[in-house]
Amino acid sequence: MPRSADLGLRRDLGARLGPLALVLVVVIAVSAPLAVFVLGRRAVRLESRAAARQVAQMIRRDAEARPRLWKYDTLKLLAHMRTYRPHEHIERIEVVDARGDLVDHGSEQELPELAARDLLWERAPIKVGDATIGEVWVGADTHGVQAGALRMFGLFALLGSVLAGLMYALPRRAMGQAELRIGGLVKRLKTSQAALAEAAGSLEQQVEARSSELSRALRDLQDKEQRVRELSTRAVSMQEAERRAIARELHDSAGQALTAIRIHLQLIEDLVRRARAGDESVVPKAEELAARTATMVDETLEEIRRAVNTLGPAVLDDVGLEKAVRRACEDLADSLGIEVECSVRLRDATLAPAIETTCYRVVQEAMTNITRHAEASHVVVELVATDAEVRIEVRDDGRGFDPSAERTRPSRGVVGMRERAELLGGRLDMDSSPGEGTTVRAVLPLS
Amino acid sequence: MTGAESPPTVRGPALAACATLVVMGTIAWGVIHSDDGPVPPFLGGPKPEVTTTLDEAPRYGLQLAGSGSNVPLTSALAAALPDTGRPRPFVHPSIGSRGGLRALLDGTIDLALVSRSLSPTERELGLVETPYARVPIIVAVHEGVPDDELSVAELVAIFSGERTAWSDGSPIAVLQREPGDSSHRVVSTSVPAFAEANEAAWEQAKYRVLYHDDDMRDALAATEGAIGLFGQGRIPPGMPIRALRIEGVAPTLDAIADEAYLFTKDLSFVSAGPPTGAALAFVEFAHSASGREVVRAYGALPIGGRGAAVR
Repeated sequence: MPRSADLGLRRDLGARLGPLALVLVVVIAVSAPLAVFVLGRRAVRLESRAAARQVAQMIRRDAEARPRLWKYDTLKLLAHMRTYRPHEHIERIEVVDARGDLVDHGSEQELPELAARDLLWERAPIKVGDATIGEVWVGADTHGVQAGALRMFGLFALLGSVLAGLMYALPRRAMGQAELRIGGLVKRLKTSQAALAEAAGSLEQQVEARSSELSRALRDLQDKEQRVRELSTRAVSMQEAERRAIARELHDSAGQALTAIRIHLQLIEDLVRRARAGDESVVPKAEELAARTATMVDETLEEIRRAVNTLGPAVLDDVGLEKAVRRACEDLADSLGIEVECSVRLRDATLAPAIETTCYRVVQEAMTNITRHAEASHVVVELVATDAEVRIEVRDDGRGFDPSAERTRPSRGVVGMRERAELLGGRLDMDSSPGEGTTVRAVLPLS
Repeated sequence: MTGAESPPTVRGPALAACATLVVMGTIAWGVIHSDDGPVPPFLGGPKPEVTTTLDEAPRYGLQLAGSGSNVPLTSALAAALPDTGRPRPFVHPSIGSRGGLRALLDGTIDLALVSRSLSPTERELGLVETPYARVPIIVAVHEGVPDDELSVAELVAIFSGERTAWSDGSPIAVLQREPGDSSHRVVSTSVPAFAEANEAAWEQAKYRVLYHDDDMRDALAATEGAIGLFGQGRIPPGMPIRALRIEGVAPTLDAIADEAYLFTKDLSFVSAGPPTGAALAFVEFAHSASGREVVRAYGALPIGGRGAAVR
């Protein structure tokens, strides 16, 4: 958290308030005492002027009664007025005649002292008729007023200092508190900015990662599309090749066999005709030929059955997937003389024909590979169907192979198995190493 | 805002503060010094512009002035002075002993009338004192006052304010003369407690103060329950004023002569040097048999005379 001094608001406010506080102290300390001083002096002056007028009025009456000797009679009045001071501030009362000379010559000795006392003087003329015969001068001591003003100056200076101190300190304190809050907000803002920057970076990374994932997914999708296209092309090619193979097979086997059978049947007809003509010697030959023809028919039927199996495992239609797999296992065990464990757990519901065909073909191809390459002594075949998928696993304890070499140049059988699984949305993996046997796993989704 | 930016922002308030202080200082200085009053001429200030001197009027005859205690008796002597064809002496209204001496020194009058002794300083100025009568200082009251006499202690109690009512309960109205009055000075000299009470009353302005014997006379006559010291030696006929006995002694001529009455004062003529001319003639008349008769008729005791004019 930044301290208040870091923002500098309180210091700046203090720098602005300092001169104002000084002015406030001076204004408060000076204004009221100055007013008291001025008003006090004016009050003293008014008192002095009133006293002077009062004395002048009294002297005027004496002067009217004693026009020649008025100023000598004034001495008594002065003596009394000096004893009895009309006001506390009045220190001296003097009377001068028309020439400006003091009536009381005794006062002349006190003039230096009077001059040194710094009295505030006021005067009133002594008039008899229209003539001014003298003046009354009243001197007042304003040191009491000055002392009062000084006392008030001290008091108001103290008061002004207190007020100025409050005026200086309270806003600074409030500013300090506000500055602390601002500092907190600034810190929170910086934290938020850092968090925002971090979040922006993270978001950018996430976007980048997501984009990378999307790009990868797009590439996968493109690869899959490419593979689908290749699969489709290959499927069409395989279908065409298979048709040609069937045609060739039918031509080469069934056609040739049927042609030979027809020839045999023509020979048999000739021999029968000759036998009917009485040549009994051809009968054994005819019987032999008939037997041979029957054998050929059987072989041809077998050829046709194998051709039909190539197009589609009819065994599935005949006995179903479970029994077809178990029969294949039995055939493998019989043909290789090895132990084959077969575990088939299917659901009650019937699987789609494509699923069943692929399952059977994968098992069939795996067994073909075992027959051809594995040299295994023990084979385990598992086929398990759940609500979501069908899992196929065929493992053997044969010699195995190097998977990297298989990926470099895969066999047509393995490629066919993987393509069949992927055409149904599934996958096929092979796990093998030299001397450790081979495991083929295929998963086919049902949804 | 940073600390480095502070000085420019502070300059404005600082300049404003300095300007305010300068303005306030100027105003305060101006206000204080504009409040100075005028300077009196005796301290170097300007002389009055209008000059009218009443004391320069032409004089005719012997001019006498001074203490109001002397004025009635001196006026009686002047009136009794035989007619010589020259202007008769003129006795001015009371201006006090000190005023008379000052006027004498100024040459405004020829003889000063004093009711006290000259001070050594005044004697050093060459003034010559010629006593001519001794008069009682009457403790006078308004005629309505029920009491006829007072003791000195009662007199002090009245002037100190301890006693404020007459014997019938009516209030006492004390009348004072101004400081320096000869009558108060005599009583104060005789009775220190009175002097103390009198001074205190002056300083506190406790009582009404009169500046002339005539004013005291009129005030005593006009004020119910009034009491005051009257220095003219006798109560003017027809005035509603009575003289009290002091310590059982009335202010009579015999009591003065026997010195039984406590408070008396001597009336004197004062001249600048030994009296000459008309002044000497007037003084001699006062000391003459005719003059002494006038003095006695007035109720005063004649004193002084040829060979004893200067005390």
